[in-house]
Amino acid sequence: MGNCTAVPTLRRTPHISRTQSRRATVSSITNGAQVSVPRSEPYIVHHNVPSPVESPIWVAIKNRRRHKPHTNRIKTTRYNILTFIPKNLFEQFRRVANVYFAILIGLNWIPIVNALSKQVAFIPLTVILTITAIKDLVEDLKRWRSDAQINKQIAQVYDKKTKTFIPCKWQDLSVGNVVRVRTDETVPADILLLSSASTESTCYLDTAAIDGETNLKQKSIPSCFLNLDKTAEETSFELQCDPPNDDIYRFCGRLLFSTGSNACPCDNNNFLLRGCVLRITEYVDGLIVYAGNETKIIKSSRQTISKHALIERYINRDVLFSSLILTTICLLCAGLSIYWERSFGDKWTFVPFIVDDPFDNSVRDFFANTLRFVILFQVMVPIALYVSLDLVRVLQMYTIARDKHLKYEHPISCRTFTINEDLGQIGYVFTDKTGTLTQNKLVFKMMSVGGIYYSGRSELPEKNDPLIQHFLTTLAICNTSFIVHDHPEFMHRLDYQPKYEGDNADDLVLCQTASQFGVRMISRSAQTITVRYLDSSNSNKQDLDYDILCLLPFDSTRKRMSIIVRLNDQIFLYIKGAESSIWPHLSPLNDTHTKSTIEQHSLTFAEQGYRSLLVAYRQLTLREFESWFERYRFAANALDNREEAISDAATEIEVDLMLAGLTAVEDKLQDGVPRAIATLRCAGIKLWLLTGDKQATALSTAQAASLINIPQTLSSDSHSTSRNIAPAATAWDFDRSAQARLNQHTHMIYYSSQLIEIDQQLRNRESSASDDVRTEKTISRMREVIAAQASPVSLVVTGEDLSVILRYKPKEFIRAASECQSVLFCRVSATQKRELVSVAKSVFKHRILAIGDGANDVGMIRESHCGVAVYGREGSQAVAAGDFAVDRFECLRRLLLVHGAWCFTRTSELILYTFMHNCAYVFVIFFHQFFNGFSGAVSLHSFYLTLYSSLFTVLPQCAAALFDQHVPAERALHEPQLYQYTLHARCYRMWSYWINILDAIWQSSVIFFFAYLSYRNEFYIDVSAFGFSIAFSMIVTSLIHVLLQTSRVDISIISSIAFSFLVFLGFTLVFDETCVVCIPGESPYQVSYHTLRKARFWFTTALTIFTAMLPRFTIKCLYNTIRYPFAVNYE
Amino acid sequence: KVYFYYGLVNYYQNHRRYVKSRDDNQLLGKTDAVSKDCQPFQKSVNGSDYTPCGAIANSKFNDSLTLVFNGSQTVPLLNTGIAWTTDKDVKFKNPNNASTYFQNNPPPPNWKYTAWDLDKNNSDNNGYKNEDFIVWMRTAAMPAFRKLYRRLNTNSSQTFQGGLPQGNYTLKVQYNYPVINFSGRKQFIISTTSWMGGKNPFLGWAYIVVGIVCMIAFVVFFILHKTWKL
Repeated sequence: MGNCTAVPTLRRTPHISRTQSRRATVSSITNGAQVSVPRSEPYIVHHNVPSPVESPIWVAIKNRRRHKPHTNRIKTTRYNILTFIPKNLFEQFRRVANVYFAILIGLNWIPIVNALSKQVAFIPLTVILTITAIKDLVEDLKRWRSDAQINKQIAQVYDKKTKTFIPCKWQDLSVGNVVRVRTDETVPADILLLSSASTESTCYLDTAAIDGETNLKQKSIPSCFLNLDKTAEETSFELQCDPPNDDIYRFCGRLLFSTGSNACPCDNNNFLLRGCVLRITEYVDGLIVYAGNETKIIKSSRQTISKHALIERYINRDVLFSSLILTTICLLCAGLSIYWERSFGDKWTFVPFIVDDPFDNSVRDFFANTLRFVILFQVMVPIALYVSLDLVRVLQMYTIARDKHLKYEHPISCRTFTINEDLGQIGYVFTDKTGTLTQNKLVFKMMSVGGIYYSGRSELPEKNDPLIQHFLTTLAICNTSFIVHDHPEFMHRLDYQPKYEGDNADDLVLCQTASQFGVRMISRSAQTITVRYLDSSNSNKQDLDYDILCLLPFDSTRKRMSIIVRLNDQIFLYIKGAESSIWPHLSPLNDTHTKSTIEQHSLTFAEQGYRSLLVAYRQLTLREFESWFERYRFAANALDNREEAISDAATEIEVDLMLAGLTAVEDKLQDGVPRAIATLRCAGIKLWLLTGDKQATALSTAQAASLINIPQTLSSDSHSTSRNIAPAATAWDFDRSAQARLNQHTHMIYYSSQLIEIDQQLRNRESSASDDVRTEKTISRMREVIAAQASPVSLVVTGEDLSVILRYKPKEFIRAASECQSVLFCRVSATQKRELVSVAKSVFKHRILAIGDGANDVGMIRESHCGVAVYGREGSQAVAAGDFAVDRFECLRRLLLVHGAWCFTRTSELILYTFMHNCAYVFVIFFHQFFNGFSGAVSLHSFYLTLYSSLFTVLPQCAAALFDQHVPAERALHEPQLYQYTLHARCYRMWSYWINILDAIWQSSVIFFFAYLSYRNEFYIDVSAFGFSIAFSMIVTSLIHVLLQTSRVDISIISSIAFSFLVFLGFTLVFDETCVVCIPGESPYQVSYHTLRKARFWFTTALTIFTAMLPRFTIKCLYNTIRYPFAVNYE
Repeated sequence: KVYFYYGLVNYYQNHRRYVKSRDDNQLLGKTDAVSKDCQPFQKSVNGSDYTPCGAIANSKFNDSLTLVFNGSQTVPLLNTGIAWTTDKDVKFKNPNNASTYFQNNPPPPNWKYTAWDLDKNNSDNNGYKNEDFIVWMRTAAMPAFRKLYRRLNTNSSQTFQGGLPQGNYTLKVQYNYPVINFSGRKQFIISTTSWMGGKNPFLGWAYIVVGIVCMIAFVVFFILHKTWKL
């Protein structure tokens, strides 16, 4: 994803560079013809160019087919009236669970396999399918309605015959049309700007609907349309660009005019996305490039990220165990069934209850028996768990999203519904610094020009220092901000202060600062910038016009931006950027003393946590510029790898720079960050800080954020300036052991620099050893150092080292670094962040959470197990990519420690409960088989069998999965160590499954054998009555079992249990009263009425339920007393 | 009140194939073709449905048991009031023109006579509404089961007004029902009923054992609660 949202990539003054540009285009075309031969067919839009092809019919048809759907009608619906049922069913049957159910139902219809009542067996699947279908239908209707509404909106389209704009519905627009969009109207499709009503040939856009950013964005007309002799509507040209894609931050195209052969580049800056709203500008005209479903915004809204929680791995493992048990008992029963039937020998014809010949075809019988038992015991493999899990997770997310404590400006937004449990298992947090830990609310603090500090205008020297002028001019114009004139009529006034808008916070604050220092950008167009210079007494002004020759935008790999301007006859290159990115390009002519002073200042700034940018300039000769510009033009016209080519070209001109100075901007920590980090550390979560800032800044932020705790004397070995950060860890309301840990001093290890100093031998060999070997040695050395330390260790790694590490020994490094309590990465790029996460993912046992706010964190957020985005000032690309979006870093504390831990325990309870509950059911039926000749008969009638695990018992377990709290929220926050409980999955281990299976076997034996022994001599207990009393104990046992499993008893669980019981009782009573011959051969008419009247039934049931619960109750009591799982045992 | 039961042991009346082999609609008096569930006792060789069809009906218990008091006086037994009234009233109905219907359709192969000959003396206890038949059709849950056979008629003679008096009783069995092929056993049980049903010490023992376990658990928990420190 590109990271220049609305950065103007190319600006050029027509009147100066017209001649040059002619030449440039010609050369680029001749070169381009060789280079950019389209590999895949490029996407071409013709405007006023007749389609040139006189092609054979089949080609025409092929083309027609390909180009047919280019109207602007959008269709987000998935179905239409005809396709709804087949398509929806098809989609639903892509779930393994549904297929499993369907296969078993199908098998049940085979007469010799038949185990359940054929009709009743349909009920659960039908209900699931119907509910899902209704849900899909409702959603689709909503989409259909909104589509219709959108498609019927009116736009103004250019009519070639009348040469006017006529109204037209959105859905009737097609690619190649020219549309006019007026102020406050929405852009109907992805369009390329052709002309604008504004004099500056630009327009302002509100893109809130697309990326949620509220600041206005400026877009401009492609430069080649600026000096046309006729209107753009009448021009003939061909646009070559990327095929429709989902990257809303990138557009690359090339305009080929039919008159003349000059190609003209166009990019994202000339491109308006569907859904933007035009502001301020009266109207713009644009050519539709992508329409309807091919627009970028619709394409990008379709992508879904699929992530899976760690807990699903446990489920799959236990499902495997369950299927093994299932297979075993099915084969066992099937075999015993054959054996039993044959045990009567030849006399079977005289045995009244042997109906079929047991010697007929034993292979078929064995096979049929096995399948019948599979149907009967199907719930042993709780496929329905996946369905209930989905449901529960959505509801869990809903409760998280409604948590008021997580709401500051926005409520937390949850986009991924499959990883709730992972929040309880986060072992590592990878965090960005700027905007995530800090507020990204920038305040100008200081500047250092020519080796002298200035923090206010009054400190400036009286007479005009050219260095300061250059410095301030760079701040004023070397940016991509634009100006919104509230009162253009006052522009001539001395104190006119325009409003700056833009998407780069640094730029804005520096531009504002320059303005306060008397260098004020007062107007700006694509070609010219007017800067007003005020003298120190604010009495005189001097307006200078800079012609923009070229603007080389900021990107995160170059980490600098520059602008080339012409003032009268002088050409200047102004550049600002990260220190490391400019320092190597400085000219040797710079004064070494100034250089060292500035270096010193830079350290001081960094130590105080300020963000600093280096400012430099270069004067160019016309020849230098022209020869370079030609190369640049070629790069800018490339269709493939354009960014890279431009970046390479930019590097060629950004050399021999003269140092001007340094700015310092402060970015304060967000509220609650130190506390949140201390909490996470206590919880046993390791924090890795990945920042683009330099080491000193990162360290001071880390210290302030209580990520590390360096004793003052040790840390500032080389820096003597006083720090304004308290070194002692602040006292939190954690308990003592946690606090003691936090108070421990951190031992800092600096990767490579210090390590190699320690290892003298290695240092000597440094020159000869390859990177590969050296990295390996350093890592092994690092491991030793880390292992030798008793106190918590923090590792510091710089981006340069990291790139070497990632190239050679990423896994070894991560493994060694995972021992550290925290790791700081400085000067890392977006790609490195992503790679680091992706390597860490393959190494770490625990889950990784990545949190960030900027475009450079998107890769990391997507790559991690759980991506959290912070609503920030750097746009909403991160928010679009994140699984969760929060307002502040602080939210993590509650999100992980409370909601994460809750979700994990709740879901694991739900899973274990489902396994155990279904297993108990299967074993009750299994025990039956010993008393009915392994025939597959059950005393429970089909309704009980099919509804037992759904209608009758599903509610309390869902209530528990939503409302249970293994510890109260306050306690979870005050005793962060409790997070270890879920982090190490103490409530769901390998043996948890087997314990639950054992309990299930106990419960089922009690339920079955108590009934068997107690009703032995009762003549009135027939099959149905026995079945009813068994069903009664089973259901009540499972309902009460929920209470034993949950840690907290609350009204929702009690009431859901009561409700489920009443549903069961009501169902039974109504069914037994009304149904005389509903299920063939299983009529339970009046059975429950008869049974409920018997005292023996009540005595037996009471004892059964009590005894079934007894072991779990006792063991849980003992366990909680002796080894209290929530006690403080910090590891 | 004295009840007489017959018991069968090792008789799998709950076998899946056996339990299903019936047609409740037929027993409701409907004369449509019977369900295939009755196989292999669905139709006779000549193609007409068995009345009643199915393996359960075919294997109806048909021993007749009489009890003689002191060698001379037959104990008066009632063959009504032994099935659930709800069954008799709702689930079992004879078809219209029952006598001709049962004559025209064959009884199950094991039956010596038609369903209309089950109780010739009482037309209300005949055909599908015969209570012995209804009791048999309510299949037992376990392979050892007992079913109500008769109840004592306390009104017919002075001797049995207060139940069965002390004395010698002789059980006369008309042996029609073979159980030897599956090593089955037959029982005859005479019993009264209490509020807890028949005699079965299991529940008592179970309560005592569980109670003792709970007592032990109580003591352990009490001690732990007082002494255990985390």
